[in-house]
Amino acid sequence: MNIRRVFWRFFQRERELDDEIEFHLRMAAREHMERGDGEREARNSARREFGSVTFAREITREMWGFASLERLRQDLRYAVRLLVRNPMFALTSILSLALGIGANTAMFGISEAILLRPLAIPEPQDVMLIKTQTPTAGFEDLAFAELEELRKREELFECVAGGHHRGVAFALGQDATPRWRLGMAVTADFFSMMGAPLARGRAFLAEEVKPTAPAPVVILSHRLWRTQFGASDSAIGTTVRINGTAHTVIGVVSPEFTGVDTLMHPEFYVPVHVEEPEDRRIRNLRVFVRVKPGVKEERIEAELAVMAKSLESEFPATNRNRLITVQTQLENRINQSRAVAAVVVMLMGLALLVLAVASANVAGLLLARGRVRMREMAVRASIGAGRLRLVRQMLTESLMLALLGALGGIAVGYSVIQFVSAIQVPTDTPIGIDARLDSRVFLFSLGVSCFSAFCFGLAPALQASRPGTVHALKGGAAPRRNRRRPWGRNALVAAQVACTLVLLVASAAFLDGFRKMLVVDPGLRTSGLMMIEFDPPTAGYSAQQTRQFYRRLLDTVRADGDVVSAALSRCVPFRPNFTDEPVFLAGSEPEPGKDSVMVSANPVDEAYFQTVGIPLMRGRPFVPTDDSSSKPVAIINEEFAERYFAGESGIGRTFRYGESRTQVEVVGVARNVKYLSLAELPQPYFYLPYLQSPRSRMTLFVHTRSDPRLTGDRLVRLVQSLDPSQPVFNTRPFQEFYEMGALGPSRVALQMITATGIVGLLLALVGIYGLVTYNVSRQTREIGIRLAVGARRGQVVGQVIGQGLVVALWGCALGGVAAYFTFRGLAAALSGLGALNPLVALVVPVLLVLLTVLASLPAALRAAWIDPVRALRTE
Amino acid sequence: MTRDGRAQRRLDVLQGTLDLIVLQTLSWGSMHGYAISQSIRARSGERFQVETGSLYPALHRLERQGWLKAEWRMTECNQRAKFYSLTAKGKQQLDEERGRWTEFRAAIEQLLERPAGEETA
Repeated sequence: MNIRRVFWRFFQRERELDDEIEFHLRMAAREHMERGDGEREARNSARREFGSVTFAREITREMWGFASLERLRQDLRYAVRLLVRNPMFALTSILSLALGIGANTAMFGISEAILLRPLAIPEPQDVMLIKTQTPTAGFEDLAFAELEELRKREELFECVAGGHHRGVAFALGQDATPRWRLGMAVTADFFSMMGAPLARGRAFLAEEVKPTAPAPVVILSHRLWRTQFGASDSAIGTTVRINGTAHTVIGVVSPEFTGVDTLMHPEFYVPVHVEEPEDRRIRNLRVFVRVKPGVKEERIEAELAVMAKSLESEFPATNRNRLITVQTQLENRINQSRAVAAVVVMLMGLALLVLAVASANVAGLLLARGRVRMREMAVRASIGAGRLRLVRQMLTESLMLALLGALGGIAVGYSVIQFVSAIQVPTDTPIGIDARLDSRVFLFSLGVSCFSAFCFGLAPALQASRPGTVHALKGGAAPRRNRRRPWGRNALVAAQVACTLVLLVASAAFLDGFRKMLVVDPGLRTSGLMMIEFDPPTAGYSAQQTRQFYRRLLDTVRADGDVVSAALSRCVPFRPNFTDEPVFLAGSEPEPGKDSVMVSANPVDEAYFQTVGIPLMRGRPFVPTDDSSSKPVAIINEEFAERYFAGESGIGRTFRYGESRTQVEVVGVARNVKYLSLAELPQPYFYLPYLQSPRSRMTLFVHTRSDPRLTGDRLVRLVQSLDPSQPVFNTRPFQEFYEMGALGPSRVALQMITATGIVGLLLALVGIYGLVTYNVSRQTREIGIRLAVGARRGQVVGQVIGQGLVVALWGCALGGVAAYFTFRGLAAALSGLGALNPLVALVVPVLLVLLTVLASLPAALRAAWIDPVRALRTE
Repeated sequence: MTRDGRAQRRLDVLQGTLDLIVLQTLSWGSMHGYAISQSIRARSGERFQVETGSLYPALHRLERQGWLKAEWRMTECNQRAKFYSLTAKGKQQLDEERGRWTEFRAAIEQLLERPAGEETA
């Protein structure tokens, strides 16, 4: 209901009640006058008979159901008064909460972008994924024939559709230079399953998505339409060239629909083209089903199991041991990248820890205020406010603090989310964390703040409303002469120090790990190297033409005067390349119970080692005669020889790799380098000669004499002149890629964790400062007496700091234990972290204790300069 | 005891019966709050004095439950007053409460009746 209407009705009722009572009094007075009383006397008797007008009004109001509103108004008035009267208290609490809530808002925003946000389609929870699973390859997508099979299960699924991401050469007009763009090829019903999220034009017609139909139509993403077509309606009907073929633009998807993946956002959609609908080896379709209402997941599982069995007996070659499973979107996202999910959970935990510190902080401040306000509470209790009422008032105050904190927190969270969204992944693919402050994130942070308000507000509220009225009325906050402090306070401060210690050790460990990483030698050339990526089949090249193109490319580039050497490589260092191959070793089980082990393989040409600067330790490099007509060979790295050939030289040994179990002979051993991350431990790795394992998609590495940042563009133009229709992508100096790809993610993680640690430290210091200050104000009288009988100021300072110090030491002890286990968890998750640096283990707690002392210094100095006379008089 | 006899005989309205009394009073037609309290006092032979602190909460509660409806009208002496009257639901409620009261009274009387043997003992 409209809040203003509620308030308006409330005030109208209020007026009416006053009128009603006024009328009653007038009538009663008139009756008294009729009996012969004077006017004044009559009015007085009427009032006397009526009793307390205020009381009658109060309890009548309670009948309206507005009572809570009225009390809320009162509580809010008290709360505002409290905050205005104590701006420092309000400021520190709101700041603390803003930091804590901000951290959670940001983390939730990020985890939502990566894991939690449902697809922007109607009833997203009904759309599930179908995957197959084998013991060797894990989860895999489906073949087209299997999708058709699923489509027949109309009793289970309303709709079955699939698709796959696809990088193509995309040219806007007839003669424009093609650019590499990520699109999605989709089957029939894809858009109807997703609720036809089209902003312009139409979805694909049935005949346009027949598996074997040519695909002359395309639907654009909203972003592509905006950036390349100026959001013009005339875009519909124009022609774009995809891999050289003209496609007519028939529609634009709505801005909310950014595809079916949280990280990859396709720029266009085309109908999937299936050459061999019955070929069950090509499993590239990510299949979605819209489940019929009322159909249980167990039933789907059961039916899919039956289907898997029958496929197994019908097509043993492709479907042996292949299970078919159904996954929710969330399960699928977690399965896709368990590491990311683990990091998200970890960061979320960290954010909650910060909120815990912030809440403890505010709880401490409130406990302190509670002592001072005991008198106020006692007065209110003695004139009839129930204990529940007092607790509720205190909770209202907490809630108000929390909501103000939430405002600040959302601002903090927003800036963090902006920061994260701006992180660039160094590829041309439109990949990025699409974090935003949407209504779910907003509601989450509101929920978090309400929850925190309850947590930090309850203990102080209970404490302050504890009976003890008489003492409080008589002596203010002084009655309990015993030295026992309220239970929560020391524990709270100690917990804060402990949490902070954990945060600081974690970020110091990261910093240390990062420092190690910076000095780590990646093992290969990073400067003076230019990279250009190709995928000739996207321009319609056959395998034969592709090989010829690469031959011509190398000849042209190597002939250039600025080029020292140039080489082709399937993989780009520090980028996930997905080129792992099963390796079979004669007569040995690399892992118990398994006959093969997955090892990354990289097809490279003969100049690769020289170009990227990886030295060969033994044997020979590849030579141009290592081609399809000669004996298959491979070059392994030192770790491969160490692990699988028991540290022998390895030259002349053989192994088999791949599904085809090709046997190769080792002709050389290359030095270990870093392949995916600077933090990784030595990984086994092997290289194959390009001519024996040709791949279509290759990256050209060019080692230049001059700085590629200056001459790179000329090189790209030279390459493009070979075939203007040939798309090139990821063209950048390798150094740029290395800095973004290898160092970037760690730097971002480090920045975020350090920021969290510093925020935690600030919070803890504010908390300690507030509590020591409070201690002093509570002991004003005692300190005054001691000064009056001759205590030296130094003693007082020592005493006050000592109180803080004992608590800080306790916190450090607790935090040290917690940090030890946290570090073990971190080290298990991130191998590059290494052992805990003893310097870190020592310096962080000592620094923390010193800072605690510093934080209690102002209060201690103030205590030492208390004027005994005034101190004794005030209480 | 300085209070006069009439005042001494005044009874507090039995807990839980105020609703019944108010509903019954209003069954003769609409009245404002003051008239209701006067009517209860007169009709109980001056024995019942309804506290204003209970009457108005009761009226507002019954209104909220939908048994009474209220409107602002002019009295015969031309003063604006809030008049309460029974709704259909209120009439039904009155019948129910009346039935419950009859049962209650019968039960109490039965409890208070001394068994014949006890009297001779």
